[in-house]
Amino acid sequence: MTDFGITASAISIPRLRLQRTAIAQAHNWVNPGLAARAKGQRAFCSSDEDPITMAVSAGNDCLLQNDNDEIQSLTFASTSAPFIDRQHATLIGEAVNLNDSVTTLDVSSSMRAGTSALLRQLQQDASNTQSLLIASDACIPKAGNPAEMIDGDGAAAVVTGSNPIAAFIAAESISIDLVDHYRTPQQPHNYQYEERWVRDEGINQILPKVIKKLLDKAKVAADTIDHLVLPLSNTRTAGALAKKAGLDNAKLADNLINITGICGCAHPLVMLHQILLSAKPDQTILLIGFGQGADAILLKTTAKLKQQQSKMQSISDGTTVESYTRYLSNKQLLDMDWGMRAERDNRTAMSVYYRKRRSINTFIGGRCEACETIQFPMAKLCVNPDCGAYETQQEYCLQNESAQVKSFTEDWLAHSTNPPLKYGNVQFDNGANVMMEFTDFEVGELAVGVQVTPRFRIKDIDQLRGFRRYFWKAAPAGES
Amino acid sequence: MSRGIKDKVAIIGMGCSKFGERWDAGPEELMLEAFNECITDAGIEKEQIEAGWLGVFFDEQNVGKSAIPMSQALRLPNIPVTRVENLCATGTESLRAATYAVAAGACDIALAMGVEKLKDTGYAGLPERTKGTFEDLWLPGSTAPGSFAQFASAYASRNKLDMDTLKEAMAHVSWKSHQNGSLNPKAHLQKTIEKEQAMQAPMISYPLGLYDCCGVSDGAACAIVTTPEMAAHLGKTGTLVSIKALQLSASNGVELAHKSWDGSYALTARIAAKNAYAEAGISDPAKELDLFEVHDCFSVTEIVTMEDLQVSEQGRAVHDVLDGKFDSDGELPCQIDGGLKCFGHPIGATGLRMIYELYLQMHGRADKRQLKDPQLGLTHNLGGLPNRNVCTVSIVGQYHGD
Repeated sequence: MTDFGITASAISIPRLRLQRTAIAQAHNWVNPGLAARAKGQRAFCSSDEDPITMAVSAGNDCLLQNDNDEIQSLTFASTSAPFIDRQHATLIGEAVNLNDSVTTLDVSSSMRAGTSALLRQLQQDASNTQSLLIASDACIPKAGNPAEMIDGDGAAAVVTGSNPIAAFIAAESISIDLVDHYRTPQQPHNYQYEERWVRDEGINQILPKVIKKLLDKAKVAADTIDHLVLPLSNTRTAGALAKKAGLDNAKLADNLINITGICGCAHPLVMLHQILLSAKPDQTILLIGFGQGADAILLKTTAKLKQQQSKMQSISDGTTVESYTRYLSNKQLLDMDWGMRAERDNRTAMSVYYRKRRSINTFIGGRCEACETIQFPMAKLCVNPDCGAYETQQEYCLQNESAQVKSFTEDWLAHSTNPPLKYGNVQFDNGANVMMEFTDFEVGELAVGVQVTPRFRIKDIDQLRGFRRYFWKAAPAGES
Repeated sequence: MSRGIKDKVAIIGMGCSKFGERWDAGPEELMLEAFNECITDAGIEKEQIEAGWLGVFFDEQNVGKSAIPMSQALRLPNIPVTRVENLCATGTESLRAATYAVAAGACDIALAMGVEKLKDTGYAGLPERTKGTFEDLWLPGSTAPGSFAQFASAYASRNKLDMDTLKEAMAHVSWKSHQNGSLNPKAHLQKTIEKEQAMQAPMISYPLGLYDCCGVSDGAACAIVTTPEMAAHLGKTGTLVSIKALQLSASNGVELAHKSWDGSYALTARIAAKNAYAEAGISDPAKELDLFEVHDCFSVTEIVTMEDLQVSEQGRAVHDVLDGKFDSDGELPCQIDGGLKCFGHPIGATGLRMIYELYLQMHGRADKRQLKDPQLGLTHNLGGLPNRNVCTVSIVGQYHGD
């Protein structure tokens, strides 16, 4: 066993969970058969979440567990990220406060983007390299498409390096251009082929092959595998496949279909995280990614996992949503009339954003060396009325600091695509005061004194120019 | 502190347009409507005005930049005119500029005008605006009611009040102003309401309901100021209203970023009030002042303000309100003209509209609203957000010579 592998793991699942019955009811007039599939819930992004914001939350949680201080590389995997030409990994790296000497890379274009990036990191990184990988997806199936019932939104992050919680044993990959679905830049939605064909010719042919190849290479007997992470939506298909591959003894990891749905290329890592939460040391995990071929990665948990489990967050309970139109609106599949206030021009002064990006992306404030007052934004002159010292402030990052609500409102007049707009003054335990928007609070949940934690979220979307900007909002504390 | 401007400047004429949804009038007509009343009242010729200031807030959908639109609408004789803007204190800022010019001796007669045409926006509430290129990147996309609603949660928390009690006091504030406004032919809203209506109105920004918010109206108001000596020279005998104090305080970032402010009061209002009382030589405002026109953009603001102005003790404003202390027949009538609640808040005009009511009251010309022999009155404007604002406190009263 190597002393190299996954050293930390975290996830970020949106708080909003749509009841599948709501989807079935909405489409009952066109497809009554959907009712049979209407079990459980699926996670979906709030109107201020996207693959970037989920990635930052997962990445941040992951780094909080990690006692390896220097991350040298950051890879971001997604098939649904908002920009075609603007590197997301760089933005995410700034948001999670990585050093600017980090190497960054976006990977995309396949449901196995997450596992392929991990595979490469595990196979090619030097043993003393600490790398952060974040996979995040929020796909947009066309309204009425069966994928609506299957997909979920979510992100997962892992750090790889030495002294792991799950050591890397071996990996194998097969690349086969089986087009089960595809999407071009001009198309907002996937074009999907018949599930039965994908099952028979894809899943049942390709996966046994890659699993055998890996086990042979690693000289590991199939019946010694403890956990099988198979990101398939159909549990019967997954069960049959495990049997066919001789993995009868392996515990088939919960595919989370009734909690989150299948979170695109992040899903294998989301499932892996849930396994790591309760796995015992010295257990073997087989992690699978599927899409234009397959990835298979063999990991073995270590004694260190046990110490780390207490720092790892599970999926929160979330907020049950019964409104299908809310889901549609958040997915921008329903063009709601938000009124004339929504016509406000949200053009970003890019040079201002660039100058202030440490404030905006990283939530860096200042700490006055003369009076120790922590403040946002950082300024040349200290805000403390009893100090006012000049050029005494050092950078102070507020993003992982605890805080509480000092005052608030739920504003039904202000423009918000998740009304009412909630905002107010936030008092940090460290003394800083910031007027912030609140996020992830439903109506009636806010009160003075409620504990909050900063989360990186969409601040505004420039409808005219297609740009979106992000900032930190105050979310309920203690939820990942 | 400097000697200030107490009694150095007198108001010899004022005018105020009908406030309301003036679909019939643009800012030019509103200015002229106020000005015609004002110059007739002053009894001077337009040519005697030596300088003018125009207060307008939303230039983007109003008259545009500069004070040329005023010069043009009133056909002023090419005198120096300047546009001023200072959030909701814009009207008072215009008066401050004209007053300072006269007090400085730079001119003998000056005009202060304020106007706002809000109802060309196309939607309810105040127009959307940018907060600044950096601020837009991080400050919440707040509205006026949402910003001032912050007072409510922080005030209730500080004073350990339940929200129902605060809502009841807020309803009393709005009920009282509607009572007063119903007697004012220039008010936008001239109907009385029941407190229950206010309590149960649709929520705008929690906990502010529809009746906790002032109207959105068009309007203009103006004043002609001069020295008391010039007023005498112009034959102004009998009652003369002079300016006792004009003070302004602006936030410097403390309320936005420092823990010393708890969110339940306006820091600037306390400073402006203290300075105004000093300038006017007032030591006990609750005893010496006869009436108040405060910035009741939202009912909760009026409650908080009564403490900031030192006429209610800390934590007592809610009870003073419910006890009727600020009703028209109470100890300290507040918003005797109906306030922002009934006049709405055409931002550039509001400060001058408040002074207009004090001016009428001092002259005994307030008709059904007339209070008995008022000597000193106060106006207050609070603009911006509770944690980033500008506040003016003005005191005017009967002139009794030096």
